[in-house]
Amino acid sequence: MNCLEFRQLKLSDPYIQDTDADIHRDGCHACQQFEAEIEQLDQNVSAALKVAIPDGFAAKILLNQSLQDNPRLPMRRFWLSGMAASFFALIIVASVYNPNNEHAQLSQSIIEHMPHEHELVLGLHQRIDNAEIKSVLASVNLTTNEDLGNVVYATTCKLEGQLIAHLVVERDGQQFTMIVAPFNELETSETFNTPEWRGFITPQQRGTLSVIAKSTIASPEQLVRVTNLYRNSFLIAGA
Amino acid sequence: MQTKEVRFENLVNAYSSWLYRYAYWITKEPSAAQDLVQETFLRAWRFLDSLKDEAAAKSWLTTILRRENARKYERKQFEYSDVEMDTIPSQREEFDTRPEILALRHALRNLSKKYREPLVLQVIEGYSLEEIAKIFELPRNTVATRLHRARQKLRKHLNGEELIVNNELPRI
Repeated sequence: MNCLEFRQLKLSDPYIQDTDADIHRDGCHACQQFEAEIEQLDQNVSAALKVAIPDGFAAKILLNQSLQDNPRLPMRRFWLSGMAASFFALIIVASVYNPNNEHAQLSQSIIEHMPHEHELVLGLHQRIDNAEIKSVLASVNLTTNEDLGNVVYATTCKLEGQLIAHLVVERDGQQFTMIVAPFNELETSETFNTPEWRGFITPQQRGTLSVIAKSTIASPEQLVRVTNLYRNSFLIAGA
Repeated sequence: MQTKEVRFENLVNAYSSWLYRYAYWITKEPSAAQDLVQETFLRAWRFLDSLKDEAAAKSWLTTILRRENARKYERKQFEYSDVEMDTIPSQREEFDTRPEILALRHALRNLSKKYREPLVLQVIEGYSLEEIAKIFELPRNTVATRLHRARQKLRKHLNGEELIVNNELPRI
């Protein structure tokens, strides 16, 4: 191999393992320098190609896919983009404190409600039977035809003065709270994120399903996954 | 046996960031890059059963992305975008702001797509010449020549010997 061949090879593939090239380089000082220059160029190109990934990008893709598969939910593209782009962004936190925003009011109520039962629920791991879950759901005029998995807590509570179903389900060793509220007719899904709680509110046949978890424990992707698992689980009783 | 949902989620978690970077350097426009990756994964979901070997997933997704780009986005004028290199999508991540890196970003933006694309694949993800040739459906030697010229142009540009201009502009 001569210098020209060596340099052509290194310009097209600096990382190539080639015995002839190695032999030539070891005996040619100029080509050693050339190789070092190309490696430095590639390091700089790598730095120059760096691009920041949008917040919650993987979660947005997963959500988009699940909505494509679920024709019961709104599909407008601008809504998807807008919602997902703002996934867990600070603007959501700000909106929580906007009293004119319906999402924000519900988010705020949930954030205030969570501490009441969180400590109580932490030590619970025993699965509740389906009859008891259905009884709780029936109290808010809902039912389910599905096995909801390892539900460790199910009760009715009051939120904004109205009765809701408050369930806690264990998945992957973590607890996720589900608040099924047969009121608050929202048109779009929404997220909220505070230092303590992370939540995802999604419209149902009637009312909303909110899935909430500790911000320090659950990732946005996990929250989306759990929401997707249960978004079609709760039905209007007798419908 | 993994469910389709779990397979898909694993793919998204493993490759969405890489695909976004690649899409960004194809479209040179953040929102177009996001849309392109979304479309890529929607198509991947539809045809996930055809992916038999998970080890081939990255190349498979890259091929889908390139085809989606050709199908939907290439007709748009991103190639002639006036978006400046300063419009990097986020300010929260630390970027290398050394003059030579900024000059390279500028040079990469203006480098012809046929040189830039294989370089991005090789430098960011370490694709081999053979893998790039397969994705681009080009002979290996053609890819080698493009990579050779890409680096030559960047070197000359940095040394002040060549002003890189986008030679994909239509000729009058």
